[in-house]
Amino acid sequence: MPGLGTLYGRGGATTFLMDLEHADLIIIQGSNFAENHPVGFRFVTKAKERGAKVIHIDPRFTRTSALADQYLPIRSGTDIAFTGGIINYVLQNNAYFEEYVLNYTNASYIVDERFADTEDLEGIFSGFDPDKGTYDPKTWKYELDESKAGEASEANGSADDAKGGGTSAPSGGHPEHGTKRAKKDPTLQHPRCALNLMRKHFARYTPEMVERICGTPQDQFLDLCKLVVANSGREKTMTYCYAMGWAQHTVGVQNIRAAATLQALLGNTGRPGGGIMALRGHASIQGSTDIATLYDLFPGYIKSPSLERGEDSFENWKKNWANPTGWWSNWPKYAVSQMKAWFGAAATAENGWAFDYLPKNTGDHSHMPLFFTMKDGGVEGLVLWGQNPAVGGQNAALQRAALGKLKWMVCQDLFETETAAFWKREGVDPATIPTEIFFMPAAGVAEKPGSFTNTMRLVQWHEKAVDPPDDARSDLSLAYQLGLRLKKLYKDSARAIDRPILDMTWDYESDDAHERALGEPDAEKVLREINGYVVATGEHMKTFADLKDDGTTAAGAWIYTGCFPAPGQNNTRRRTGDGWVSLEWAWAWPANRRNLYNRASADPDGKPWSEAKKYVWWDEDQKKWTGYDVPDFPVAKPPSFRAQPGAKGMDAHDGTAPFIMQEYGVAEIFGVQGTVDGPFPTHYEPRESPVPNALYPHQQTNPVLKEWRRRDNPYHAIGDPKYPYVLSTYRLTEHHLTGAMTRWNSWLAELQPEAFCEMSPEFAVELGIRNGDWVTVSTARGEVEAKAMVTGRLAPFKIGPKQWVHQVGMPIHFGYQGLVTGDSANVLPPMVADPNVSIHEAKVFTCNVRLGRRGAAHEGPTWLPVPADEQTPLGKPERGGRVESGTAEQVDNEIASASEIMAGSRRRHDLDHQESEG
Amino acid sequence: MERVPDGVVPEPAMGFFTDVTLCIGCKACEVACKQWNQLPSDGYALTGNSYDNTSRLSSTTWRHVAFVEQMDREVPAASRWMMMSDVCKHCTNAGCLEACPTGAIVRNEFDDVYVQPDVCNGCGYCVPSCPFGVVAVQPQAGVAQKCTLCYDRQKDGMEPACAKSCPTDSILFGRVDELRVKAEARVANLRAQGKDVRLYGVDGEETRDVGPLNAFFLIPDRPEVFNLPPKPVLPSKFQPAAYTAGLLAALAMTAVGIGVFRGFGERA
Amino acid sequence: MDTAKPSQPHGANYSAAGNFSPDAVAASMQRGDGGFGRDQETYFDHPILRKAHWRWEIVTYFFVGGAAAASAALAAFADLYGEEADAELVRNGRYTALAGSLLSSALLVKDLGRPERFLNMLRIFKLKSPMSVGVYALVSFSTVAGFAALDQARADGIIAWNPFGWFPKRVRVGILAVSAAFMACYTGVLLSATAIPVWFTGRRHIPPIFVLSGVSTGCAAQNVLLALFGGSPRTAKKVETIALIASLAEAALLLDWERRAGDAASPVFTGKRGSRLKTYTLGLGIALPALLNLPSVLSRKTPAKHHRFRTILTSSLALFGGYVLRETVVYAGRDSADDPRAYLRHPE
Ligand SMILES: Nc1nc2c(c(=O)[nH]1)N[C@H]1C(S)=C(S)[C@@H](COP(=O)(O)OP(=O)(O)OC[C@H]3O[C@@H](n4cnc5c(=O)[nH]c(N)nc54)[C@H](O)[C@@H]3O)O[C@H]1N2
Ligand SMILES: Nc1nc2c(c(=O)[nH]1)N[C@H]1C(S)=C(S)[C@@H](COP(=O)(O)OP(=O)(O)OC[C@H]3O[C@@H](n4cnc5c(=O)[nH]c(N)nc54)[C@H](O)[C@@H]3O)O[C@H]1N2
Ligand code: SF4
Ligand code: SF4
Ligand code: SF4
Ligand code: SF4
Ligand code: SF4
Ligand SMILES: [Mo]
Repeated sequence: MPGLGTLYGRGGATTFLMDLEHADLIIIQGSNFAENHPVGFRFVTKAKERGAKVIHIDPRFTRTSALADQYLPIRSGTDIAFTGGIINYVLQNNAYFEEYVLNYTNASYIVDERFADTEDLEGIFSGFDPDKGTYDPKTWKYELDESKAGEASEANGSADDAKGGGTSAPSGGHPEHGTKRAKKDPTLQHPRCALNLMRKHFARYTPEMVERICGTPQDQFLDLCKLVVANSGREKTMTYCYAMGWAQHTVGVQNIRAAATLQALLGNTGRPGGGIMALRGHASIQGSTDIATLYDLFPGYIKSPSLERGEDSFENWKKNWANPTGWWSNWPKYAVSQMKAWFGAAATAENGWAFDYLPKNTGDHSHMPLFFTMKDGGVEGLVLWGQNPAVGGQNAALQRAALGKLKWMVCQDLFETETAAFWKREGVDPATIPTEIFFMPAAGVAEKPGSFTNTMRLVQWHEKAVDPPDDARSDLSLAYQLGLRLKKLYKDSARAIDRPILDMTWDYESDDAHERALGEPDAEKVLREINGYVVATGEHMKTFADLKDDGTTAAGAWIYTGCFPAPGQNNTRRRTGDGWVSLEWAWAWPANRRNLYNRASADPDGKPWSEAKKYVWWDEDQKKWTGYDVPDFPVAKPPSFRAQPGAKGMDAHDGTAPFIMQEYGVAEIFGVQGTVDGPFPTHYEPRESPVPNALYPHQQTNPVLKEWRRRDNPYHAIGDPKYPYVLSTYRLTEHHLTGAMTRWNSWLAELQPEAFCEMSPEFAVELGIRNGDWVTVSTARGEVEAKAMVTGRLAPFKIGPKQWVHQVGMPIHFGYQGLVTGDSANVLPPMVADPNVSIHEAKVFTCNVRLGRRGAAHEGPTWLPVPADEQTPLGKPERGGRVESGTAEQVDNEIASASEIMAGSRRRHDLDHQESEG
Repeated sequence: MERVPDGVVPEPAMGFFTDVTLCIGCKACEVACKQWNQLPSDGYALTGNSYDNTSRLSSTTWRHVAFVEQMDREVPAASRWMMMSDVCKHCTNAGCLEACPTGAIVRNEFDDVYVQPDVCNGCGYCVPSCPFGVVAVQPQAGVAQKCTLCYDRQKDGMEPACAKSCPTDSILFGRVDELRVKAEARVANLRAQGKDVRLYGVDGEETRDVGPLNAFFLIPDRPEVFNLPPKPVLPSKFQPAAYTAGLLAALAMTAVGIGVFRGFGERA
Repeated sequence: MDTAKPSQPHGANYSAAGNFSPDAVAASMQRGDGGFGRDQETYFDHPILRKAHWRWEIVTYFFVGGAAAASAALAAFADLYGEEADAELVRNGRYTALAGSLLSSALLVKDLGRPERFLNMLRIFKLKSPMSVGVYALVSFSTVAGFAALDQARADGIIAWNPFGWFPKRVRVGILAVSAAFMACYTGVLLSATAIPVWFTGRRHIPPIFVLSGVSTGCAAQNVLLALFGGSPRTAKKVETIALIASLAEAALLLDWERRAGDAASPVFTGKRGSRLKTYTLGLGIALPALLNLPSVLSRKTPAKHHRFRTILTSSLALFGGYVLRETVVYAGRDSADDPRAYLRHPE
């Protein structure tokens, strides 16, 4: 989540669920909290019982809206306009938390004079390269104060846009800044201080504009702005909760940044009842980004070496990531300890800690490019561990077709998923599929021990309750056995290339004879390696502060160090709660802190901002930070501490700088690092939209979004009359994702037994659809059928005096395997992605809807092979999404005509419908 | 047989307070009940009625979550979507229990209304006698089934499965007297916030015949909106009138019969 | 709100587009009141109550039970207060009562599924449960009807010795009177003492109507037997007289029920079911036989011989009418249970 990482320093939820109870206002936007995180929602209802206000902002009235005090509708894909509108309101009314903003953010920092805003360049920032479709962010930086330069020279001249992008790693620092200090204007008068640039950037995000773009009525929006201001400050705090409704967009990261910016302006982050609660997905998805399933990350958010960045030796790798100032000055300790954990004695200072053993990244190997390559025959084999892309992947027909190009596939799962059974889906002759499939039955949660890292970074151990049935085994067992057998196969090899396999530490054998007989390793031994130990003695590491870069310590993931501080003391097993911070309940990374940046809960002098919001403070008598949580600050560094010029590491931060991971220890409301699509969040329309961008007529979409223009991944044009409606995809409480774990369960299947398409009564009346009718939803990628669910919970969006946008929605849970089946909504969306994290845009694209069932060949052109000359995934939008001509008036006209076209196509529809019925 | 079985020390009445304003319609209660009691699913078909695809309580669905959509385009802020987890009311005066000819339905030591499956003969008379349409005969087993208030779990000192699984504490389980205190406080709190809410099953009109309900509810609208009868009846109270009328007719016909046979005799 | 027809409890059913049928939405948008989902009267028209599962077995049981009770009573009246010539009625009545009670038990067992389940009901006696009362009425009725039949069999020379002959006749008749009365009326109480609106609102009518219909159908059955097996015309006239009185009273009560209950009784008196009831019970089952039998009943003379054709015709019509009555009332309970509005409108 670089949205949070770039602002605050760490890419994780800043707070924890139980803390929601202490909020005065909870804004849930881009998340269907109650339906998708029902257990966590308990704390929202508790807050409500205490008198807190709960707001839900969503295109649909959901079960979350049902429990909220207020529901505000928003057209999908327009959240930056919305949050930007609140930011504008706060700035216009000078309602920001001045002391917090001045001391804890970079609001007063002066930005390079070469920087140009979207307001200057009609929708793009300075540094845009239309040919490459990327930004060079060298102008997105501070003006440096030459007089305060330290001894270090500018370490790294060329800024490199790939760095810090791509994932939710705590972003690297600013080597180019060296230890020179940025210029500041504490009076906030300088026109180029971050705050004033921000004023200018958001000045046109007025309530009128918000209504126009988002379809949210102005008066409702203004009421919300007032509520937000009234519930922030010394005495009150508000929390933002978001999830995929923000993330799954081509502006996903900036959606989150917008809220993080607002929270920084209002002084809500790091304080009880404040911050940003990122609601993560799968049971341990936080854990699997921590310890690390992303293609470009090592455990603990250490970016794997990339040849594109010239990281061809340990030194070159280190140079890019070990910042001179701030927390990341510790990078070498973490990286070296990790290599020691992996390769033991084979990792030495001489061989760059076995750097050569590591695989190097050579490009974008995230999910979508991988599947394009697969479709074009570039991937031979695939091991799928609990993933079901035949249903969960965008443009699913393409992904299904891609699977058929594999030679072999190993799939370890609880059920024979659609992916495992892709070769026998509707309309496919199994004889034409050459792929050999190995299905490995997986053990379920209760059949194996292990840990879950939940949405609030809490690592919780779970025990094994029963043996798995028959041949089912844990995933860990498959990995372990694979390692053992590879080691055996290569044991006599003398080739250098086989060394990593032979040298890798692999000592997880279970001490329990029964488990050994099952072939199961000891999961706690894996946790011990993750936690770390002293190489010489084997003593468990107690804190990551003790990790060394000289090879004397080993730790698989430094952020988890401390979870298992002594043999027999697995802290993740703890279960003592106190109703709030609960430091004795399991263990949270980092260092068991629950509310991050919590030094910000005290004023610059270290005193609580107010009695009501007391959390962590400086104890003058004991000369240390103390409070209800583990202080997220060097415990003994007094508030009065001032960094000396040229200081390095954490000494470069003042005693008032709560965001310790950042270069200057402050929240970066002007993003000098990390995001590849601009230092301020900016409203762009989604890749597919029925309307032009009302804010920047010349710039329809995020200029640097990732797209793949191929004939098997066609996109719809702006306001394409063939696809006049907006479609959003989402979840239902009753099912889980691709439905593998729920559609096979009769008790859950009966609760939502069929695929449906939710639509407003207004829409249904126009198209002559009755509740329960079959409808076919189509895009250029394919078509799916579903039952119509006509409900007043959806309503058309009014985006101009007479202009309306119809939005329909479909749950993502259906597929062709299981007790209940149905068409997968994912046949419909295109593959297109956010440039920072490569997340898809499943939350908004355009479609058409007609009454009646679909035809037989519903998977569309995505099936077809693509000629070799068209196979290279392009990845960048044509002309960066620039629109040649475009003025405000034109946009008006276009919106008007788009509405007309929509109406026209509806009429055509009616005709079609009559014909097909006749 | 109506009271506590012999040798059992009565415990304080145990029951449910289900608060509609806290329910998020997650149906965890419905599923937990089915899982604990190993009840089969009711079939797979979309009803189109909001998110409710199991429709009502039945012999195989002992907790059922109702979904009430009230969307208002004129006053959008007045729109609401209410979810209500329905269950057997465990009535003080239970129509089902009174009607049961085999004594299969008893009031157990927790003051809950319990169907003993080994005694029930499937006559089905409890079914039309329940004023809430709760109990039903399960066709395969041929016996009447409904919420047991997790008698088996309670005996082991455990909370009922549905309450245990409820993430928002919309379902509270406990001593009925204590639950009532909590419920009153909750009503007061909500009323202070200007919300129009009421308790169903404590002392309102609905308790006139059936008495206070051990499973009672906090509802923000009229009962019938949630498929609850505003004035549930207690069938046994109709018996006096019915017997009187019927036996009078029998008596009258006896008189007629005797009269006719005697009269003819005299005439002869 | 659109008042679509009631939904099925489970399974695909989209009527409750209820709130959102195109017509309803279009109308609402036209009116501009915007509140298409508000002010529901019911929950998707789902039933609040649950209907009894009862089918033909129970309908037949109600019918047979009533007729058997009346037959036993007729036999007893004839035995105690009748003349020589009524002996045929005594015999027929006793045998039919036993046959009827046995058939009743068989039907009940059929409904329960397994014979031993019948015994579960004999574990306890519960005055509050009409079902329990009814079972004991049936058991005691069957027993005394059995004694009476044994008596008759001995008298008829079919058996040589009556093992229960020692049982005092007075006690027997007493039990018979009470249990027959309960047999005839408890079925009505059984329906009335439920939560089903059409039944409980009819609680002052259904039991007496069932009693009267039991009498008229019992009489009809006996009349057929008399006509077929050579009973005396005098006896037949007595039975006809009783039948006439009972059926007219029954008709009067039915009409009174309809008038008083009005809407609440609509499942009984309106629609297909209503016209069936009016045609076969009131018209062909009561009015026509009454008309045909009236002259003979009113005439001072005792007919010399049977009008076999008339007797068989009117009796068959009355029997069928009686069956339709039970069927109508029992099945009306299903409609009533399925209609949530019935319960809301007629809480009592
Ligand atoms: N029961 C259940 N729980 C789950 C899951 C599940 O499948 N089932 N999945 C888990 C996983 S992996 C994840 S990632 C999380 C996801 O959790 P959520 O993000 O809450 O999931 P979604 O339902 O995809 O989307 C949330 C909401 O975003 C809204 N939305 C769509 N477009 C926009 C938009 O542009 N702006 C705003 N503000 N809202 C928009 C949708 O209407 C929807 O209500 O849930 C997790 N929890
Ligand atoms: N259109 C659209 N598409 C989406 C989304 C959307 O909102 N809209 N959401 C996206 C999001 S956020 C996500 S997270 C993805 C999810 O996409 P997937 O991860 O592909 O979907 P799941 O159904 O969660 O697949 C998990 C599989 O793991 C199996 N499994 C469960 N436990 C175990 C185990 O212990 N071991 C093993 N080996 N297997 C196990 C399950 O049976 C299941 O088959 O979908 C994405 N796709
Ligand atoms: S399924 Fe698991 S992770 Fe999701 S809400 Fe329930 S308890 Fe939490
Ligand atoms: S609600 Fe019905 S089934 Fe439950 S106790 Fe009351 S009468 Fe019996
Ligand atoms: S079905 Fe069972 S529980 Fe119901 S009344 Fe008959 S015997 Fe009693
Ligand atoms: S108490 Fe037990 S039986 Fe009753 S609804 Fe809850 S889980 Fe089901
Ligand atoms: S578990 Fe609780 S919140 Fe969920 S549906 Fe049941 S009562 Fe409502
Ligand atoms: Mo997810």
